[in-house]
Amino acid sequence: MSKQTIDQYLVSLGGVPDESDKIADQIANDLQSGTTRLVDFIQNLGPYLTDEDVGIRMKSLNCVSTVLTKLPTPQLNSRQITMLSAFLSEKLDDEECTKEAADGLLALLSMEHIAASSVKDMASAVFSKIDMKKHAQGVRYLVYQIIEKLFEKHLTVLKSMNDTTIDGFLQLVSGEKDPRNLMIGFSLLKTLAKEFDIEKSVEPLFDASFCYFPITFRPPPDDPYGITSEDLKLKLRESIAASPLFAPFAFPSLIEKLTSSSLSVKKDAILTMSACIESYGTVTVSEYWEKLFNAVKFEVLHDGEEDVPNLVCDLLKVLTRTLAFGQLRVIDDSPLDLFLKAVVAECKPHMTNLDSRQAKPASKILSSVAEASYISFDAAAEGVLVSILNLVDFASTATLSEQKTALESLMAFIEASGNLYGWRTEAVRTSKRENGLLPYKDSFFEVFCKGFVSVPAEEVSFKLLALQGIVRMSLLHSFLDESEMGLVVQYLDETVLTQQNESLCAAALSSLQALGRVKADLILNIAFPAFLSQLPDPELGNIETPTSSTKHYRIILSALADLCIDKGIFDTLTVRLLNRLPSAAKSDDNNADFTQSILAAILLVLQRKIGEEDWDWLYFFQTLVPKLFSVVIAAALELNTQLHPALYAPASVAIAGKIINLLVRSVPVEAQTLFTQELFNLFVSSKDSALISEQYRPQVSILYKPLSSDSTGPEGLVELFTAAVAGLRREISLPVSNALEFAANIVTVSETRKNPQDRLALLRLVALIVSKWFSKEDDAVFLNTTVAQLRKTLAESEDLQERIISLEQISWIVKAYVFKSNRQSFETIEQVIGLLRDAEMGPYACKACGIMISDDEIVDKANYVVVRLLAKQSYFSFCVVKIVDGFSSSVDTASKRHYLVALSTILQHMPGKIVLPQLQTFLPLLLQSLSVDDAQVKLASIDTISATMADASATMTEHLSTIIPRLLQATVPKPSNPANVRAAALSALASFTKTIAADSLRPFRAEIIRKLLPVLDDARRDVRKAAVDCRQAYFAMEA
Amino acid sequence: MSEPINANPKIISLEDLPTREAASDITSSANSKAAAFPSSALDSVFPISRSSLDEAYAALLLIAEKKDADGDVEMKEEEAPVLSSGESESGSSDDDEDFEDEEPIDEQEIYDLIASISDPEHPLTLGQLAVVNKPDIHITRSSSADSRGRRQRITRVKVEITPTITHCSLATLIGLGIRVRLERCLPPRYRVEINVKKGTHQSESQVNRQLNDKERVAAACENQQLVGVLSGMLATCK
Repeated sequence: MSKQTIDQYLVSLGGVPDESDKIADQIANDLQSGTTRLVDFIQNLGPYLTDEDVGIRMKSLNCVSTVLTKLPTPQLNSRQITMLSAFLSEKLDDEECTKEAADGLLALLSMEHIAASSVKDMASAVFSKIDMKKHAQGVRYLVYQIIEKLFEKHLTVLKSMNDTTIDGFLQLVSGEKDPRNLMIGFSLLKTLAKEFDIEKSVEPLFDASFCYFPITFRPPPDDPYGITSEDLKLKLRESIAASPLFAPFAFPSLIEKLTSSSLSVKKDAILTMSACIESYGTVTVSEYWEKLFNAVKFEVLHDGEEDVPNLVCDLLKVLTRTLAFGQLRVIDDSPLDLFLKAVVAECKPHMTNLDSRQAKPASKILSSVAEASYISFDAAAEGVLVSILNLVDFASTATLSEQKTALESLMAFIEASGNLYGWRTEAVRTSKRENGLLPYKDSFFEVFCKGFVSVPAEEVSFKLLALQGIVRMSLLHSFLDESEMGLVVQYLDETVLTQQNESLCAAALSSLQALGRVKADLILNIAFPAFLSQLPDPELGNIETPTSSTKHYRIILSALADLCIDKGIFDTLTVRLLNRLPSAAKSDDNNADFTQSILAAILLVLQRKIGEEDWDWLYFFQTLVPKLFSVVIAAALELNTQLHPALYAPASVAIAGKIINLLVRSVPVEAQTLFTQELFNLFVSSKDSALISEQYRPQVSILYKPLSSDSTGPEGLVELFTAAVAGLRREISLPVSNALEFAANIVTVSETRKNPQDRLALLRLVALIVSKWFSKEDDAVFLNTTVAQLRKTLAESEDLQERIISLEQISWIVKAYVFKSNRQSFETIEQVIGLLRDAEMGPYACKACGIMISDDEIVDKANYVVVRLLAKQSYFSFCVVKIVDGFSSSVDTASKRHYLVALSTILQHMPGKIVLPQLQTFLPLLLQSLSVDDAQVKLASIDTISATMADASATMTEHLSTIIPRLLQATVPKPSNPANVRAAALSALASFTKTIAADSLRPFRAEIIRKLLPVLDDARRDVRKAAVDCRQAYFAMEA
Repeated sequence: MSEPINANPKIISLEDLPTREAASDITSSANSKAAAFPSSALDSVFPISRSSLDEAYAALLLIAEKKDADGDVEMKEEEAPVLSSGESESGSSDDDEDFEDEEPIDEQEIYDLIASISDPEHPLTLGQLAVVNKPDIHITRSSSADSRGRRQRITRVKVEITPTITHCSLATLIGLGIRVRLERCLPPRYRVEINVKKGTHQSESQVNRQLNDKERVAAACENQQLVGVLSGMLATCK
């Protein structure tokens, strides 16, 4: 290597950064390979290093440091390192070059062969030569890094120069303000306090950290370091808590900070105290507990701000744990003993004075101390519990609110014991100890049970508290025994079954669920029999709800559904409910109210739980589905006199269909394949089907031909078939010879069906087949044959009913095609929109426009139906243009009205983000429909305006002068403004205050407030409420 | 802010405040339709009423026909209402009101209007602080004017407030807040009278005079600072 390379380096420094880096790499390589000797390298640099020009000195030093950084750590021997380190240390007080020298020293510190003596010299040089105040934060950062490295790698060396290090570092760190440097500074101070002999400099060392307390820092918006105020607080806290020797300074100073008016300072002080207590240890803290307790207790007793009381309680827990550390019992007159006595002495008078406002905070303090350790728990419990239990007396004259205070104190102990000794809900019990509350168990149980049972129902919050107490006790690990838990469940049952207050019922029900999760038997053996016995049972002669005090069976059934928290419980419930089904139906009239309610309860659980993977859905599919098919079909065919007509009432069939659909779609392909064959045996080919129980099987296959056009059997059951087919996956192949023929045949059958259930089921079935089992070719053929025929009838038939029926069929078929985004089907849509002008067909076409795009529970993605992403959007943009054109070109009011109705019908099915881009196109129509005398059109328009307002406030703002008067019109009571229209108009008006800029709205404020005055006298309460809220929203807006 | 006058008032839990649902439990007759089928979670999967099932079919089909209609097509939407725009008839005459059931304003409704007003010095509502209590709200309808329409009948609402402590200097402000709220929320035919409940305030008669003196109330509402405080109190009304 020549001097030339060095010159190149020095020149390149000012220029392209990469270049100097490359040269440094090369020099480092040369040194490594031995081509260049270190001595030569330095000698070549020599003159520059001592040049008078600062710039040149800097650059040449930079060269040394950069090369050193690039050398592998074992490269230099200790002699070379000593030489370089001495040289660089020398340069540290050359102010302009400190950065470069520090860079080099940092590199040297990582070298493997560095000698202790060089470390020592380097450290002394850093401490003595650098005057931090003269340097920018970047240089200071380097210095901190050097010291950090020294601490990290050469702690023993530094410890051998204890005082120099401490004094030197204190010197360096004083006055530091940069957050990044402080982060290192605080951790170094912590290491100093922990590792060094600091006795001589405790106070300066403490001050070095504490002078920053309370630290506040708001990171700049483009913060390059990502240091948060919280990071700094934590680091500072650790350094203050680093040594117990700080205690005499730390505790008094921190206690003083408690008086601060700033909440964050107060919180920081409490948290720092907790950290100190934990770190300083038992011996030190023993001297200070009294001061600490006396200082912090007021923050709880006088209800400090926000979470201050909680932080103090956490502090007291740490304090207790520290004092109790390593002790198996409380030794008389030990600091722990004195502390516990002091706490009890402080809290007991408050807690036993039930009228005192301090009772609750005092129990919070005491229970926190109790929660901290086993021995403190016993002491605290012994201190107060008996006295409080003696105060509880529901027969006494003491007011209920005082009793409530007592229960709250006891409650705090239940919670504390749970946290300390373990809850049943925990997977692993952490504590092996017996619950410290056990000696008081009987009194506790009695007090809470009595409180719950004997207090009148109106005292809701009291009852809730008592109930919570009982339940929390039941959840304590190894606390209540079987029979007591059983009693608790009975109380809860009774509450759910008889209590009128909703929040009590809800609490009882969720408590039952909580108990069921830890002990399912409680539900199965106690709650279920209790609930089921309250259901009407014609076998026992009680057709109506047994006694007047119990609730309606729908509420009981819904509670039973709520209790199905796992599959085992659900299994039991379905067995018991389905067994009751035939007899239950007998109590029904033709409305099948009870039957449908039982089925609805099963469906409710399914809907809630169908996503749960650990529920064995195949099992429920295999047990429930055949059972439902059997019962409903056998009842419909009147195969058994025991089976009541309520079992095949439309509502029962509808719910059974939903249950079947949910179960079918949740099972895998293999199960579906077997099922499909049996399903088609039953409904299509009239063969024996395993879905029907054996006793009815032969008769069913003879009597039941639901899909044939000359069917004479019972109607209204096709829904079950459609629901099951809907659940089939697309990869299942239908056991029919030709899907096209099958579908075309169903279309024909649907024409002959008068009853709406069957017709709808058949139309849905066609849509399902088109969507799931038609190939592209099938699609084209079907549109050109079957659909073309229907369109012909629609266009040409003389018979109105024939036209309507074909329109209905078309709507459902086109729906499947629209979802598939099949463009060919759009000519059919155009034909339908064209009918809006037709006086006779217009109203039906309006409805058809909605059917073609509406979401459907059967023809739905969840049923493996093809729904393309842009389906709705392309339908909408296609229709809107046609409707707007049709509206403006039509002259008669009837057609205009049809167009408006069609638009609002379509809008009901469109999400906002599709509607918005087209808003400008149809807004005029929308505004017109606000003044149509048709409640539904009006409601739809108001809803659309409300829904789009938030996203399109700019467009809407321009039209406020049209919208607001029309909405105000819609609040006037008259037949075309039913209550729901009036309320919707009012809430739309109120919502403007949130979505539209106040400046645009202000001109209308006075008018709105005035015009709504008569609405305050509306006949309907909901409307009045909406008017009140709307006026309040405008009153609150500044005039 | 200076120390509150009453730093530690008694507070009623939200669950214990009177609500319409709680009230209807006692009053609703057992044979009404709602009582026969109480609302439950089952409604969400399948509502009990027969008509809702029919409506569902009617919404999805163009011809929804009753079972016994036998062949006759029942036309939906047979009458096509005339499209009209910008119409505005004679406002509201009494005949218009007969098309739906009347739900008169009752004590609970008045209570709901004012119980959610915030106390000026606590982050709590007047209901929670028991400043307003449902039994202390009285509605008197004049029965003499039967011949006149409902809208013309004068109705008197009397509200008695209970200050949290007998020397509460904010009683007037609270009363004023209630008055402003009720005047904004009740139709003009309602006459509102607000009094401090007997024996709950040192200067009862003075406060009462102030609260029911139209001129003084009007003057108070001219005071911008006072209006600011009032709108803060009313902001929590729901």
